[in-house]
Amino acid sequence: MLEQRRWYSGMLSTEDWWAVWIGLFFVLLGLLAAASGVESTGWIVKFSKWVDITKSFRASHKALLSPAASLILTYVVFTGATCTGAKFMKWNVKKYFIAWTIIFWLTVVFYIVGQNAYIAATSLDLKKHPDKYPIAWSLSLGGAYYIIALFAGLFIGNLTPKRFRTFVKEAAKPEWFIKVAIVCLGTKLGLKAIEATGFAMHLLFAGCCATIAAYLLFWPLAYTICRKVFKLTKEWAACLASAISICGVSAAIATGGAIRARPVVPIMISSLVVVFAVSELIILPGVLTHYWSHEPIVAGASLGLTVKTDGADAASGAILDELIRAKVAGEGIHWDEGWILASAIMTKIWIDMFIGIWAFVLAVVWVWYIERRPGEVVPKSEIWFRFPKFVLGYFIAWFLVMGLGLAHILPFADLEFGMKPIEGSLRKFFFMLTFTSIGIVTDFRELAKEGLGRLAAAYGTILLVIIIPIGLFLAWLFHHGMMPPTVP
Amino acid sequence: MKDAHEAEPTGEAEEPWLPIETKLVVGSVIAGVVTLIVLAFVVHIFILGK
Repeated sequence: MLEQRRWYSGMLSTEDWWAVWIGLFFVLLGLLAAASGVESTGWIVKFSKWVDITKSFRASHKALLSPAASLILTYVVFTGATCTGAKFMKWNVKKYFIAWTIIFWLTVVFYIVGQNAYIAATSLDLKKHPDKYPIAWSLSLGGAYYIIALFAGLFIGNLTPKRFRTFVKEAAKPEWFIKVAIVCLGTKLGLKAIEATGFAMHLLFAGCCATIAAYLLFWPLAYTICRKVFKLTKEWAACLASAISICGVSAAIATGGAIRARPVVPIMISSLVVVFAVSELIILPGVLTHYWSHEPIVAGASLGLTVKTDGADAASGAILDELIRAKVAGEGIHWDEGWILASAIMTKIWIDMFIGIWAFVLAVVWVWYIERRPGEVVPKSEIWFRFPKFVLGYFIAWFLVMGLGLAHILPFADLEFGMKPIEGSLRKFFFMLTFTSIGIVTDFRELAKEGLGRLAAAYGTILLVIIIPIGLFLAWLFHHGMMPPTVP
Repeated sequence: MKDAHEAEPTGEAEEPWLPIETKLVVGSVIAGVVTLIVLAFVVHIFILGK
């Protein structure tokens, strides 16, 4: 933990930083399009609900390219961007490229299947666009493509031959893909904030408050249950408490570093985090839609506080956004897309940001009180090293787009022209890649490993008794009554 | 490399609960409750009450 590092260490060698570089690269392409009118983003493939499969995808700016050319160009550019990152991170680029290609094209298939109108079209779609959707019924499952990708990924990761699934995991990087998507999501919030600055700022502030309270309550209660009820050692209890209270895998690793736990501890806990997060991803959006569709922002924020990986949180937020909007659309209420997702991301972003400070606090507590190493100094730079860097990309993208719009440097229509393909088509495709990848890397056999039974019991108990109830309460306390803007 | 038994989440002998753990846990919970009340008040006054 205390080795000498420069402030810029890892800028070219970590997933976190490469999410920033790739995300901001696409944001800059969007700004170029907005400022000059050059079609630098309109080529990105966009998937749509379909009855006729030839209309299932096209270029974001329809007239620019044929659908096939758009899809191939998207594959080429995304492959180039991620392979560049893979090379700098010293991964095996050849293996990554082949595995990425498999994941990319499988994701395309899952996306197309999930967008079939019989599955995805809402009753409103059928009523408003009878020519486009000449069908008598649909399941109205707007976000079904995410679930299809997830289950297909789970099938690959658990039931295909070991050699194949091990190979595909070379490019199954859910945390990386979702961080790229979240940086791009910043532009969406920027565009929305131009039209509703006050609401975006309220969401930001309320999310921060909820997170601070959650940090201080979740961790000690989770730690106490681990120690008193499940008799875990301090080392296991601290890492598990951080993982379940804060931000999953990265919190477990940061805490492991802070308290100098053995490497096996955060690794074993991380496998639990992923499995439980996927379970939450499958269950919570449906439950929240059923019981809390009248408090959409509360429901979204509660996901940020209770789902412990960035990928699963954003993914469940996206499903919740689709499900709740589809449900209330039947009642004649049309909420703007993306605000429920934004509330889920916002609380998670704050949680991610504070992990650096929390790891620093834990390091100090462990050195000074638990392990009693008086005189040892924990450098403040630890806060920076623990800070999730993709969050910087998210805020840069957000404030850049919002600032250019609010200062009237670029007209809103131009910003929308350049940014829509980034915050819409590209972001959603990276979400889809995340779902496929989460499924592939989630190995349910991990739960059966020796020693994980007690940890799993502790994790599940704390999740049900502490994290979800308190998370729901905090989300309600700090967000109740907040409603997304409506659209005509 | 770690031995299999080292990967067990509990040690051979149970680690006793230390008084300092009580102080840290209770301190954090109290800080959490106080923060909760103060921030909830602030959010209600400046955001939700508007």
